[in-house]
Amino acid sequence: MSCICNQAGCFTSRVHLRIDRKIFLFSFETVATEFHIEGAGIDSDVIEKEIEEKVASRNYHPDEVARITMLDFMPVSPAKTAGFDPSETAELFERPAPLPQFNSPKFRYIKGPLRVLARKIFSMLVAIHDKFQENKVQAFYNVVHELIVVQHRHKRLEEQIHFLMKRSLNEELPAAHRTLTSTEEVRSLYENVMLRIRNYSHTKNEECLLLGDASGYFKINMRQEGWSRIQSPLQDDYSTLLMQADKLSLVIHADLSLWTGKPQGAIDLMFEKTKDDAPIVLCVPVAKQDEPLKRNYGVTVDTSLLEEKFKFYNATLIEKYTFPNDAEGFAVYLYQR
Amino acid sequence: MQPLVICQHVDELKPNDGVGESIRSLHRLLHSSGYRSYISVLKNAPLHEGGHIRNAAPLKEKSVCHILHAPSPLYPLLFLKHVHAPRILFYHNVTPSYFFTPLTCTGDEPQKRMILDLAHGQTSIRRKLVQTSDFFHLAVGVSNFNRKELIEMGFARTDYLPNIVALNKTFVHNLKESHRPHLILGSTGRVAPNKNLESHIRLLALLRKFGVPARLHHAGSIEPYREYFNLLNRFASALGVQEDTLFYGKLTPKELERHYQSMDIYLSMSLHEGFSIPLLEAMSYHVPVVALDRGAVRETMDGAGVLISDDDPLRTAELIIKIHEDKNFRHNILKHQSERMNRYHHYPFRSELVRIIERAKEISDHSFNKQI
Repeated sequence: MSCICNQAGCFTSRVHLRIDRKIFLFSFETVATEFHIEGAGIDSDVIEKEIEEKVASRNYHPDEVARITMLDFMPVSPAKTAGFDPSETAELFERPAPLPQFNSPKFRYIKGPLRVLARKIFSMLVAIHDKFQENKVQAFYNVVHELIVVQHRHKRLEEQIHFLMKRSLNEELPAAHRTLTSTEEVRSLYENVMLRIRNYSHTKNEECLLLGDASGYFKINMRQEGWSRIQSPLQDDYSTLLMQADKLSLVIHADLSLWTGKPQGAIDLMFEKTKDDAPIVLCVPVAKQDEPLKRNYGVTVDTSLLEEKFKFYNATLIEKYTFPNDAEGFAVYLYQR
Repeated sequence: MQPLVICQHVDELKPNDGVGESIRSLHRLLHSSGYRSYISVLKNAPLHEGGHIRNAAPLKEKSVCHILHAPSPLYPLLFLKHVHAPRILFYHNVTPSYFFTPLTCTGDEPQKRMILDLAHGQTSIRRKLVQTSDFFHLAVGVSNFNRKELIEMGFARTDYLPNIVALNKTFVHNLKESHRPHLILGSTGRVAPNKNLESHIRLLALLRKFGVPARLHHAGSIEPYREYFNLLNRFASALGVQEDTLFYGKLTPKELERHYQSMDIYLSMSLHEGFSIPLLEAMSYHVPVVALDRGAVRETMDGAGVLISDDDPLRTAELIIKIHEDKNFRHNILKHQSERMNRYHHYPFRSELVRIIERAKEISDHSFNKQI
């Protein structure tokens, strides 16, 4: 275990180091990673091979077996919770320091009865310390208990939010919201795009205008980035917004479906209103089937038409991100003139 | 010369309990070795058991050797502090609290509080042991695994004597193929989280999935971890094997005997064992044992049965099927288990116990003379 910050003296690293040591101390109890069998008079290799063959040849549905082997038993499994682990902390807490043997050369003068005396003093101090700490120990366990409960509640809330988000994205929220395959995919897509944008803005050393998309995701993260001006896409008339703007360094038009007119018209306006060398990031709703898009947006965005339009303005496609396995979602194009 | 008086101290001598049985066996062995043996019980003392159980304060004479058993609360420590007599600790292991703390996420408040108190109790005993490591003249682990823990806790003088268990010697297993309609996977022990009984249920579900008509029979008290028991039931129900999972609760010796006799395979997936008497009991009833290699399981098995390195349900299920179907394999396991039982029965318990007592006495006399 190590801390991701990788800094010397980091508190987390030190805690991890302690845990590492503890695991090392408990190495006689370490969990084996491979399946082996042992027994007197048993040819382990032959039996293991036979078992492997049987496992491979048995006709079962992998999903059914996975369900049995992977089904969570404990409400909170210490092995599966990242970060703070209450049970491990409790174990760390409960393992008291052993009485020192005073064998080290630096204690060479403490020998014979002195050593016994030193051990007795140490033991007495520990006992006194424990007596004084009695209520604190109880308090510690109360805190651990609360943390376990809070962690559990947090996990359940997360699950509920995830479930609600998924449902609302699919069914309930207005048209501007789309089905996203997973938060991870969106995040990685977002990070790629942001990296590109950052590179551009740094080299140009200019402020940019960002138009967040309607899904809310990009919008929130862009706010975190602290970019100079954020325009809410919920100001539903993009055309007015763009027309009011001066020459822009960068345009991210996240969602053409919000465009009141034809999407191609939006591209015209973008090129007109941006500086000659400003990159354009375009988020286009895509769909393998047109129906959901029509149903949700009332428009069909033909990406090939858009690409033609960009070619017309001599814009080169630098990068293209799409959701690989999704019926509908966003394709992000990054164009540079 | 007066024979040495041996007094074992325990807070409660429970019937059909691992530590309790070990104390009784030790008592019988000491008695038959010419010592005057007593068991001093703090609460719920049985009226008479062979006339040697004494519910009284520890004896004060110098010729008494005191034996304390952990994890029983070490209540006579204060009293024994000023007695110049050999003091021996028998360490049966304390289950680490991290097995119990996840249970505080479920169940009602009193249950959570109780589990937390239990975890706290386990902690206190460990702390107490560390603090008293100098108090005992000798600390004896009932397994080498326990002895290692004693050394880690700071005990300078340690020794080893396996748990003395009165095992069945008379039951002769019918080695013909069983005609039962079900394959009975059996296990014994307190229903506690460290026993990893959820893995037993997983295995059962897999066996059922593979078309093996298996059942799981477990004997052992469900208290104080009733919430764990509830979780196990819910888990069995989620995997669709609730009907085939049977928790008997605590059994009488006769019932326990029948339980062992009814098993086809004894299964232990326990994650922490200080000795594991049920493994030996199962072997004594000629039941093939499959056990996960954790804690002191390896040394208790001593090469017999089948030891598995990892909790891999898929492969363990195949292993169980193999043991059940392959007659020769099964007989081979049983043969080596019988040999293990012979080794256990012929272990020099008496001479080792006498040696340990003499050693403790020698250390005690030495330290007493030094003080003078």
